[in-house]
Amino acid sequence: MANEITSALLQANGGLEASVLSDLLVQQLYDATDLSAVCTKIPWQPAGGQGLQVTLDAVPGAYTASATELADAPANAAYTTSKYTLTPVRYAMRYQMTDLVPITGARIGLDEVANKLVQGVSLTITDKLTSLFPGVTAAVGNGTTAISVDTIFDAAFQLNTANNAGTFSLVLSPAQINSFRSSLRAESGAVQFREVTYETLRARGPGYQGFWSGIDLWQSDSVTAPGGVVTGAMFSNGAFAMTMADPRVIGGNVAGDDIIFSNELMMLERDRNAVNATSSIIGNIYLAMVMAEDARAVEVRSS
Amino acid sequence: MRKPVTLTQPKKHTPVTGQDLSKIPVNGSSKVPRAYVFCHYPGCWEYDSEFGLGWLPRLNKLISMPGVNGVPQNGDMSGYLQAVAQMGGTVIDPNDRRLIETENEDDSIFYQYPRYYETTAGGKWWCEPGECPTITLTGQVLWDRKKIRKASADFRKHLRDTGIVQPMHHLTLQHELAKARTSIERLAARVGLNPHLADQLADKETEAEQMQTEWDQMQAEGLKQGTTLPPVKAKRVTPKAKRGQP
Repeated sequence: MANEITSALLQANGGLEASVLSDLLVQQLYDATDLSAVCTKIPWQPAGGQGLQVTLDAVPGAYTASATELADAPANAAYTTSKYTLTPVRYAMRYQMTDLVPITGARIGLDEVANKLVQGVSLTITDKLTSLFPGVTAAVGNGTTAISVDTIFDAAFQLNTANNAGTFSLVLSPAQINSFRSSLRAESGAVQFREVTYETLRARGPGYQGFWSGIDLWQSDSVTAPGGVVTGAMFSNGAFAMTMADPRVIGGNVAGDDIIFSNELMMLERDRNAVNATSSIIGNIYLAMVMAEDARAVEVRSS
Repeated sequence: MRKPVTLTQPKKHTPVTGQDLSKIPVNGSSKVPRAYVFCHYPGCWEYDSEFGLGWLPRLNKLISMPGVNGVPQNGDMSGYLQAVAQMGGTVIDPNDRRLIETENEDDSIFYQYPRYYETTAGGKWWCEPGECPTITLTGQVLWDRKKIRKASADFRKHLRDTGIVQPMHHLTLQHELAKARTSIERLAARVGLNPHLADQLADKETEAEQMQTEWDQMQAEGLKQGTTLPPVKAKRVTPKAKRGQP
């Protein structure tokens, strides 16, 4: 094994200090963006197969005129449905701590470690969602210029042309958000930007940046740059779907004392190794994500 | 009787004072790229004005990430690629020998293009053609974005020129030109109040001209154009009464 949480490691890296000097734990800087709010959540329904099939219903069509008033049977109209499949797989994370860590009175204990495992779930969802962006067919912008107000309008117009409605979500990298704000500042006559407030941040979660011209803006450092081109995305509701299988069904297989925490999304278990004097906490989630409908999204590319 | 022994041959060992610089350092916040393949959809083209390579196919990156787009735990992408093919996408097979751009197969960076570097955590950092990280002594990983864009453009030019992707349809060009014209008109409408956009407008106008010129050159070089039906000739109907008359 590797990466055990040992007292020697904590002493070397500042995790184990005299309590008089550091009774307070301060979180290191990281991007806590949680994009689960912009995915369509499909409730998991176990049915004996690994995949969950979701039907996309047919679109209604306009009526055709009859050639005569009487006895003109209309031809059958095609009822064209589609589907996508959500296939949950196991994602897991484990921290292992030696007994010497609590014995020496380290401020970092199993509670803090368990907390990190809970926070990691939303980061996993964010990573998976942004990994789908380079697979979107439609695109605006290019790899040589920074994002501007025009790029964002181009994306919104493209979605509108494809019959998308409602509020759009826009997920950009931190550098792209900077470029957009910079462009917005230089424009005269642009639509007002509604900055994030405490209430909106609370409602939408970490990473939310504000609202502009019918578009919710999000920022994430998980946005990738394939081929040297930073690739964010704008999309309407229903573009991306996810499900998380409920792991509590295996609760009967686990000794009750070993379950630290479980809900419909995840399960945290303790694993004691007396021989090596270590305690581990393992988090398990069963996640699936899919691009549900390509026409609902557009890549936003920039340098 | 036992006697004292003097040890004279210490084992040689070079002390490791830092990290292994041949591997990409990763930590908890690193976003390690997964295995992938490229695909191309017929309408996805873009004009390359940065390196002057003309119209290039815009590629989609399909990532082998378990749980994402139906990829199972073992990373098998066959179901995903089948769905892409059904939607009209052309998957760029890494083992397609037309990808070899050099005389020697081993020198090719396009053939079997999904490659990886090792990471300090023991995993794989999958990279695209031309991605060469620079690792500083402090463990920072730097990427030359322009060099990567150049390699990407060369790769896509190779796909275009070898016919691995379907040629650009002339209606796609019309669509792209219309988009460029719309963009120019929108900029022109605002440049009066926003003088800083004047340079951008001039660049866009130049690029729009180059787009058409480049297309004409591609046609002249004999690249295939999308099939179009010949114009329908109107039939001349002769009145019955005049039939048979000289």
